[in-house]
Amino acid sequence: MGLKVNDLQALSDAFAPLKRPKKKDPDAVKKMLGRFKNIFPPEKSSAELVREMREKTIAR
Amino acid sequence: MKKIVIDANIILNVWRMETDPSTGLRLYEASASLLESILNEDVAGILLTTTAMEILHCVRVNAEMSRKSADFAVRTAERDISRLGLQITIPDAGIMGLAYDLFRDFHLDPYDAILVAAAVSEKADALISRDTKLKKKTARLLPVFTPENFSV
Repeated sequence: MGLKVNDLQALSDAFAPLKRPKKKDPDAVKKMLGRFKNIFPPEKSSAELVREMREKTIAR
Repeated sequence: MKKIVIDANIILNVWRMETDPSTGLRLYEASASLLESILNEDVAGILLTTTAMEILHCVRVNAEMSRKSADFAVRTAERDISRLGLQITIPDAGIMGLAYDLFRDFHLDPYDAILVAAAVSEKADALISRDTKLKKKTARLLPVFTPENFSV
């Protein structure tokens, strides 16, 4: 069974928040710097954080 | 133009302004520089929707734990990701089939299996990650570089 055009549209709508805006922001990366500095435990690396999150999700 | 697949930890490095506690290396600098290269279209960067969900899940859970608005944090994170000029890629049936092979034969966890399968299927030049476990397990399949070791 192939993918229907309407299904494609639904998929596209689902990921709309991640679609790049038409106007490019040259400062996009600078604006990200430190954005979530205070919400993560500083003692853990990002690689560790993601891996722990995966293990918890899989174990549920 | 080179094509790379981005792992979740690269984007988290920048948001957290992360440094390596043992060496003092500012991990966020090379990660931000790599994202700038993608933004400037010097290199094509791919982000899987599964990786995006992992990143957003991490943001949501940690925002909840620090009593911040998780919804606001996720919306902000989505907006940041959307502005980077990444090719957001939904894993298709071919990727999922290869991912299952990798899961079974290379003992990758399901998320790593999808990430590596996508990089192989997309004929990416490299996977960019700081995850040493991932690099060890997939060295035979494709190059895995840290942002410091990858040249655009």
